[in-house]
Amino acid sequence: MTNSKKKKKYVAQNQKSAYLFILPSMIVLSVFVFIPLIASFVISITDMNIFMKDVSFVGFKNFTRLFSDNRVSNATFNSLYFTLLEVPLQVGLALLLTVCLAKNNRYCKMLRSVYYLPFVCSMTAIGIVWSMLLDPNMGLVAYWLKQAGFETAAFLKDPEFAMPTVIAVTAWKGFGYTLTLLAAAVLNIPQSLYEAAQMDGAGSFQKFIHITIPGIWATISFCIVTTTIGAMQMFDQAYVMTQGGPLNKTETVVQYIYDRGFQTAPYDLGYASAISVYLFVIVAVMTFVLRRFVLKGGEDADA
Amino acid sequence: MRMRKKIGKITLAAVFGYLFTFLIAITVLIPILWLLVSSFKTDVGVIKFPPRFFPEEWTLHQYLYVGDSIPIFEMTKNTVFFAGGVTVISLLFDSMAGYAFARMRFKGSKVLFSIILLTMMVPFQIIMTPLYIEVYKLHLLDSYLGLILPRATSAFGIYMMSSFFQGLPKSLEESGRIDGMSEFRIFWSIMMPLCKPALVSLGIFHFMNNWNDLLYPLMLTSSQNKRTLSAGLAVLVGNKVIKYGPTLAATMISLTPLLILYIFCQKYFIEGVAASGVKE
Amino acid sequence: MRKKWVSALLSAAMCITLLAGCGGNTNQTASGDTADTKQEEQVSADTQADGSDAAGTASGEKITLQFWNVFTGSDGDILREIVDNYNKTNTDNIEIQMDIMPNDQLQQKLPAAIATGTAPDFVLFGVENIAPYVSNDSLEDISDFWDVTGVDKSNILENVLELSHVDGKLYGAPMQYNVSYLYWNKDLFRDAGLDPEKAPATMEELAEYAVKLTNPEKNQFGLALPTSVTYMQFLWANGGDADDPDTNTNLLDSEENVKTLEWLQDLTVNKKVSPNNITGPEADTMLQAGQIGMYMSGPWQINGLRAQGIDFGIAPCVAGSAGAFSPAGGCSYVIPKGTEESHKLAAYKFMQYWLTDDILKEWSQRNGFPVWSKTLMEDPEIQGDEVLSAISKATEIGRSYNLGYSLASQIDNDVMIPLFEKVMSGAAAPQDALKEASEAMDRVLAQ
Repeated sequence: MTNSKKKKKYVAQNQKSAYLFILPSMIVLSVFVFIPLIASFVISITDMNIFMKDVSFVGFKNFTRLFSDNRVSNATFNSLYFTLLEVPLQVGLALLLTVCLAKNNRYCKMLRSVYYLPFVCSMTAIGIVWSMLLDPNMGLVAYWLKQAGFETAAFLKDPEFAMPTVIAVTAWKGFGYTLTLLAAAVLNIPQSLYEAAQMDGAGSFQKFIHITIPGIWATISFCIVTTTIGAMQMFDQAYVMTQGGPLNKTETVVQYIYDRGFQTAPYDLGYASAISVYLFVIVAVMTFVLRRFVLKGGEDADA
Repeated sequence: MRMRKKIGKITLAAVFGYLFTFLIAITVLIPILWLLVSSFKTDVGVIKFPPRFFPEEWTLHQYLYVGDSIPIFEMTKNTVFFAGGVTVISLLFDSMAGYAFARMRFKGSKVLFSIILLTMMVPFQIIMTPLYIEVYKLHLLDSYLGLILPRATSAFGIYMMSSFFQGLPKSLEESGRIDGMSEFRIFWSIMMPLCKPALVSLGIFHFMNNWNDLLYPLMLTSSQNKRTLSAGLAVLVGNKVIKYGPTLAATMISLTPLLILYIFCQKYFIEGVAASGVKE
Repeated sequence: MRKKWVSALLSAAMCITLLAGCGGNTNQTASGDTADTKQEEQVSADTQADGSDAAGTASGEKITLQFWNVFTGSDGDILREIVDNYNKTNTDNIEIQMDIMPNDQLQQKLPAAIATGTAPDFVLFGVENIAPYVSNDSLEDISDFWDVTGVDKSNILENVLELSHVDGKLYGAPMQYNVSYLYWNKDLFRDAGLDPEKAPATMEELAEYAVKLTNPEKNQFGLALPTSVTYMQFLWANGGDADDPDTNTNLLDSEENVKTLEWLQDLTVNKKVSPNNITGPEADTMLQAGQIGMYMSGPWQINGLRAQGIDFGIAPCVAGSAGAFSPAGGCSYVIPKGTEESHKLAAYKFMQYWLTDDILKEWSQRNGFPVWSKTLMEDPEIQGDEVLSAISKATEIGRSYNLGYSLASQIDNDVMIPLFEKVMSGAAAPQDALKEASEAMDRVLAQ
C-alpha cells in the first residue's frame, strides 16, 4: 500500500522533470524540423514553385499526378532495391566481422580503427575517389582488373551494375561504424555468462546464438532501423557518382524530388513536396513495421 | 584425440578470420591511401593513362593552388565553431532527452518519441526551402547562431542515447534518489559519467557529419568569410571543368583534421563500454 | 491532450504565416525588404543611401555590392583577378564582394533569397536561366542600361545581345558568348594516318575519322560523345529540330531525326567510337589525357588542353545535308528583383567596365572565348591569335536553341537528354526512342 503510493508520487514528480529534460530538444525540433515539415506538407497541395509567387491551392492534383508518373515508380523501385540490399550487406558484414574482432587485443583494436576510416570521410570525397578508381576507361582499379585478365563490367557506367556498385561503395563507407557499435555491445556482455555456458558445454556457435545475439539485439535493431532510414533517403552517393544515370537506373526518390524542385525549371516545389510526403509515408510505414518486427524478435530472443 | 581435433578446428577458423579481416582492411586502405598519394601528383599525373598508384613526380602544387583560391584558415575556423558548437550543444540536449525517454515515465512519452523518430525520416532536401525562410525571418542568416541552432539536437542522437540509457542497470538512479538528489544531479553526476563512450561516439558522429556537410552550410551562409571548409572546397569542383588535382588536395585538407581527431579519440570508443562499470 | 492540440494549432498557424509571408512578397519586396535586410546592409556598410538619387554614388559614399556567380573553375580565378582589380582602381568607391558557388547551389539559393529580399546585388549565370527567372518576375528589367551608362549597343553582335533579351526587354549585360566547337588531337590524327591540320567537315567524315581514330588496345576512342547533354547540332545538320518555342509545336517526329539518330546509334553501338555512358567532365579528362581523338565542347577546354600540353585544333561543328549549326550559349550579368536603385546603378558601372574592350580582350585571350565586340574583332592582336581567330570563325554557325523559352530546361531534362541517352546506349531503337520522346515532348508543351 505505502509502497504503491510512494511509487505514484515518484512518477508524478518525475513527470515534471521529464518534461524539462526533453524541453530543449522539443523546442529545437519543433521550430527547425516540424514547422518546415508542416510547411512542406502544405506546399504539396499548392502549385508553388521555388520563386514562391502567385501561390494557389490545387488540392490533390500533385498527388494524382504522382501516381501516373513512371519516374516516381522507377525511383521508388530503385530506393527499395538499394535499401533491401545495402542494409543487410552493411549490417551483415559488420556482424560477421564483429565475431572475428570483438576482442580487445591489439590486432582487433587496430583493425576496428582501420574499418572506421571510410566513415570519417565525406560521401562527396568517397564518391569522387571511387568513381575515379572505377572508371572503366581511366580508373586504376578497373585497369588492374583488366591487367589481371578479368573481364570486368563497366561498374558505374553499366545500367545493370551501377546500382550494385553504389550499394557496395555505401556499405564500404558505413560498415565500420556499424561494427564499432556492435563490438562495443558485444564487449559489454558480462563475461560470466560465457563462462557459465562454457561449463554447460556449449560450443562457440551455440554461445554466439544464445548469448551474443540476444545480448546485442538492442544495438542490432538500432543499426537496422537507422541504416534503413538512411538508405531510403539515399542521395549523396548517386548525386556524386552517377547523377541518377545511366538510364535513370540509380535515380532514387530523394534525387527525383531534388530534380523536380531545384534542377528542372519551372522548379515545381509543390510537386516535389508531394513526392516528399509520399516518401515520408513509405519510410514511416517501413520503420513502424521494422520496429515492430525487429524489436519483437529481440524480445523473443531474450526469452 | 577429441581435444586435438578441436584445437585444429579453432586454428583453422582463426586463420580464416585473420585472412578475411586482413583482406577487408586492404580494400578499406587502398582507396584512402590512393587519395593521399594522388593529392601529390601533378595535373598530368592525376589523369595519366595508364594510371599509376604512386606519383612519378611528387609536388605540393595542388595544395598551393587550393591555398591560393580560398581562405582556408578562415573557413577552418568557421567549421570548427560550427561543428564544435553543434556537437557540444546537441550532446547535452540529445542525452537529456534520451535519458528522459529511456528512464522516466511520463504522459505522452511514447507518442513524442515516435514523432521524434519520424523526423529522422525527413530528407534535408524536403525542408530546405522552408528552413531558409525561417532562419531568415529569425534574422539569423549568415551567422554562427543561425548555423548552429537548427542542428542543436537531432532525432538520431536522441534515439541513440535513449538506446544506450536503456541498457544501463535499473538500480542506478535509486541510490541517488535515496540520497535525495535532484533529477538533474542524478542525470549529471551518476548517469553522464557512465556514458562517456556513447557520448564520445555520438560526439564524433555529430562533429563529422557537420564538418562534412555541404548543402546545409552553403544554404545558410551567403558570404565566403562565413563559409565552412567543405562548402568552400566545393567551389573548386567546377561545373564545366573538374580540376581533379585540386579536388583531391581539397579532399585531403578537409579530411586531415577529422583523421587527427579520430586518432586522438578512438581509444575511448573502440575499446567499447567495457571500462565504464556497466558490466556488473 | 489539450496541450498537444494547442501546440499543433500553433505550429499550423506559424506555418501559414510563413507561407503567407513568402507568398505575399510579390508587391512588398521593395518596401518590406529595406527594413528586413538590415543584416545585409550592415555588411555592406552602406549607411542608408536611400537609393533615390544616383548622385550619391559619385559623391564618394562607399557602396559594397554582393555578387554571386557560378565560375568555380580556373576561369573563376581570372574573374576574381579582374574584380579585385576593379575594386582597387574604380573611382566610384564601389567594392564588390564576390561569392562563387556551384551552379546547383546557386539555383537552390537564389530564388529563396530573392523572395526573402536577401539576394545579392547582381549575379552572373548562364543565359538559359534568364527566361525562367523572368517568367517568375525575379529579375530587374535593365533596358535603360545603354542610356544610363552610354555603352554603345551597336558595337555588340546582335546574336549575343539577343541572348539576354526576353520579349524585347533587356535583362542581362552580356559577359561571354560561345557555341560548341570540334576539338581534335593532332598527334592522334598523325598516328591514324590522317592529315593533322584538317578537321572533318561533314558528318560522313566525322564518322569515318572517328572509326580510324578508335583503338581499343590503347584504350583510345575516336569521338567522345558524353550522355547527359543534347546533340542539337546533329539534328539541325540534317534539317531536323526538336520544337518551335514561338508556336509551342513539337517537331521531333520527323524522317530527318530518325536518320540522324540511326547514324548516331551506329557510331556508338556498332562502331563503338565513344566510351560508354561517360559524363562531360570524364570526357574532358580523357581528352586532356590524350585518349580521345575528337570531341565537341565549349571554349573552357582550351586552358586545360594547354596545361596538359596537348597539340589540338579547333573547328566548327560538322555539316550535314542542311548545313552546320551549333547551339549558342553564354553568361550574362543580371540584377535580382528588389536590388535597391543605388546598388543597381553601381552594378551598371561594373557591367560597363566589363564591356570595355580592354577587359573583354583580357577575358578572351586568357580563356579562349570568342570575341563579340565589333571594334575588338578588328584588333590586330586578336586577329593574330591563332586559337581566337579559329574559335571566332567557328562561332559564326551559332543558332539559338529554346533561349528565352521558360520550358527549355524541362525539354532538355525530360525529353532530349533521355532521348539521346537511350539512342546512344542502344537501350532502344531510334524509331521507338523518338516516338517515346515525342510523347514526352507533347506532355511538356501541354503545360
